[in-house]
Amino acid sequence: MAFGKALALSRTERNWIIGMVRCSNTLTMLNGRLSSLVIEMNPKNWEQVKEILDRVSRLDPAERSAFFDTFEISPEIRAEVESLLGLDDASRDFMSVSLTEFSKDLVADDDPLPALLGQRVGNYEITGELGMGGMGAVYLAERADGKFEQKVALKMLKREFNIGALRETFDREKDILSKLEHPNIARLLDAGSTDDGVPFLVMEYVEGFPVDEFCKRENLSLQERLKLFNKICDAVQFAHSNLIIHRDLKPSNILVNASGEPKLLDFGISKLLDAEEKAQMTAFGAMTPEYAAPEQIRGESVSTASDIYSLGIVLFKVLTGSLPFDRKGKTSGELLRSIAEDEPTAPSIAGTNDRRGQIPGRKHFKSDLDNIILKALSKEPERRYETVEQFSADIWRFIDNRPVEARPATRTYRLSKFFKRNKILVISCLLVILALVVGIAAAVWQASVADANAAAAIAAAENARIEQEKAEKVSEFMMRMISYANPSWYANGNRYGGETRVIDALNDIGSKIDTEFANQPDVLAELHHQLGEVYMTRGDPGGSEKARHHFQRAIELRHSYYGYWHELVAKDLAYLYWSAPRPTDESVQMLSDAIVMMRSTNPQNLNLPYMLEDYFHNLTDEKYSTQRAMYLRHVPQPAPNDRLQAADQLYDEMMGLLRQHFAENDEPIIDQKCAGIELKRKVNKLAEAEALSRACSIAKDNLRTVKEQENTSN
Amino acid sequence: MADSPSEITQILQDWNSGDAGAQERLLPYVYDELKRQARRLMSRERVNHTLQPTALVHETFLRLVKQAGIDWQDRGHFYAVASRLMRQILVDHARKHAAAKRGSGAIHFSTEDLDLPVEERADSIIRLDEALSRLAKLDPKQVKVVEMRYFGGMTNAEIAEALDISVRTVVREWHSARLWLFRELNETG
Repeated sequence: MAFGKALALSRTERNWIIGMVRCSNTLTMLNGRLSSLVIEMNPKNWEQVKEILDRVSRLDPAERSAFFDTFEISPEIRAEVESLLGLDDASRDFMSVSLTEFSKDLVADDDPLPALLGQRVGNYEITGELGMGGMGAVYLAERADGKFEQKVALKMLKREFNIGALRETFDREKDILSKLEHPNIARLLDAGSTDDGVPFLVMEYVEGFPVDEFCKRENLSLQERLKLFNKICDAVQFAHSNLIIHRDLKPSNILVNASGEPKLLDFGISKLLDAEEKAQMTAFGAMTPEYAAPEQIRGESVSTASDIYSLGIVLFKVLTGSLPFDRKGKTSGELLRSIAEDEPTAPSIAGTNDRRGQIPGRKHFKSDLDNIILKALSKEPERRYETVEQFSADIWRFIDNRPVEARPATRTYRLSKFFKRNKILVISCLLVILALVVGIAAAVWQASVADANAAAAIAAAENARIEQEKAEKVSEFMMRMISYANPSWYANGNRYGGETRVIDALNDIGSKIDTEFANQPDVLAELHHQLGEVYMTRGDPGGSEKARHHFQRAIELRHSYYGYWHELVAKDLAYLYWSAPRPTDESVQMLSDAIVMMRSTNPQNLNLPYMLEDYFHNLTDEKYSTQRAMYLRHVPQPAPNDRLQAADQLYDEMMGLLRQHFAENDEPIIDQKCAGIELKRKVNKLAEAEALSRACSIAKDNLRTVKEQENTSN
Repeated sequence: MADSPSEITQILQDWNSGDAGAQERLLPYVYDELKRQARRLMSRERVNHTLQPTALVHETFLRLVKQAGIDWQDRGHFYAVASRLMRQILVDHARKHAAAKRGSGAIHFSTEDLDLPVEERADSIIRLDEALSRLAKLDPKQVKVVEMRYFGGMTNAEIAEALDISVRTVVREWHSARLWLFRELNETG
């Protein structure tokens, strides 16, 4: 009956077998002429043998024979199948023992470890191997003088690498470690060299798991993970305060022991920040790309900010189980470019495909936590936290439910995209102020000259004198500001030192303009506004408060000078909204007012489309329903009652305005085309969505090609 | 440096992104690491636990991935490569121990065979290797299944995934290969 079952599998299978058998018959007929019984196996008939073997292996001899007859299996194939099946019993134990087991003692020769096993190095005896690095090996060792029981990690330079330059790096690690006595840094216990001169370090042995694995294993809550991370920050901050940069922070170098204490390991490629630092060594060869900062990847100078970046990635991994820059489907070149250029995924939406990596409390991820991590992951070192301490402090603020200093990164990025400012942001900001001051002075002066007529000749002369004075005052002030931007501050790529002084300069300017320009409220208002923008885009700690202060001053001044309903007031209001750490009922109302005001005073103002963008974007945000409701409540009138319909109307208005400023293939238009696809789908304008989607992907491809060409030509 | 992590990282990333040549370039690294792991794990005194090849290959995998510092997706294919190299390593070692004269005894690779003298066991491995080379002329894909299963200790499911065939096919291939090899080693040898 088993036979019947075998044949009853399916019609196609049956037909297939028949076809196959016929084919084999033809073949055996050909073969048969050469050798009548012993079949010459070739790949083709071996396939058939395997097939038939599989079909008949569970049949009893009678059924088997029936099978062969029914399907007219050639005698040669049949003989081969029978021959193999006949061995089924005899071969029962064949290959039953693992081959590694079988050949254990064959392999056990020329092993360097047994030679070292049991050997004494200093006061320690080697008992095992912990890891092999590029030029060194780490062994597990125990104290051999019996004074006390202690397991240690013994790091030895490989004999063949015991040469000058490499010895130096090894010695440097010793110097660095000897400075670092901290509960969360694996301690250096001893150092020396063997009788034949191979140097070794004896370090605290940490028995534990990499921090990301530990969190997963222990299923730590969000709070627990953050607190653990802050301990790691303490250790890194401690190293920094000792002028040491780790440069290779990643989970496998941060082990957490059984009592939950994290320990920092491997200062192997860390760097001592000498006061007279010469050429900055780039440690690309040694570091781990996924955790390396963009400046490390670009081979630029490495600072404490690079460690802050790596810590950001570690936190990202610990919280989401994934990495911000997805390596999937990328060549290493693409990955590196991605790290250097692409904006990281927000942690709150990262790794959503990987349920295993998710942690309890993840759904409570607030935008605050996103902002904190994204700030640490800023491309420009100067936009990250200034110190690990500040990074850690912001996390504590999050834990304690206090407002964090990191501001919404998306908004900053959107703005900076808008301003098209780059690394030398500060300098260009200063130049903008200068240009504006000169521009305003000139415009005011010209206006007064044009106004002059015979009847008011004397008054005009007096006016001209006033404006002349104004212009002189402005230019004098301008000269002083230029001296702040003394390029020597930026010399030798020492942006870190330069930055702190630029902020001093800005604060200084901010405190002086009110008295300097007390008589020119129009100029003063614009200066306040520009200063506000500088603070807002720089992202210094406390900067957003300063920015708000300046925008508020600008509004007050403009109210008294231009009145309440004015293009410039609308601009100030929008910026006041943008500089708020998070939208509030009041600030959303402000944005809405600004939009209505700008529409009626100067729809050509380039700020208007971006105000509209912000508004429609928040109306469509699916994450935060209360926030969404706030935006709907204040939606600029006239607008439909429906949230998505209102968003759609704002979007169309924005596109119309942008098209007056930009060409169809300019980045701002393309960006917005891409941003609108989802919205158009939601309001069921499918044809439009489709058109946008097509335009978006074509344009993106084009942009990429252009950028690649630029890159290669550079 | 022969085992520069960045080079391995590079190769693994290229492999991850589907660069076919990457596999070949990785071979020397896998070979070195596998050999080191083999020495490390197999030289230990024979205690109560048995050493499965999968432990070895797995350890090698972990080592390389750790060294490269990346999360490597394509584990199945790595295991396939490592299995092939494992065969090479074991045969290399066996050659050192093999007796000058070719043995002719039965070869079972069963528990009783564990007590055979080193030379005889070395000889068995060499003859298995030769038989596999003959089978490769008939059916190279089937040899891969044998390598993965016996030299790499991979499960049927892992093999199926790495070779992109069904588990059912793996079972079938393993069955007929075992019979074929058994006959080859014990009847015609």
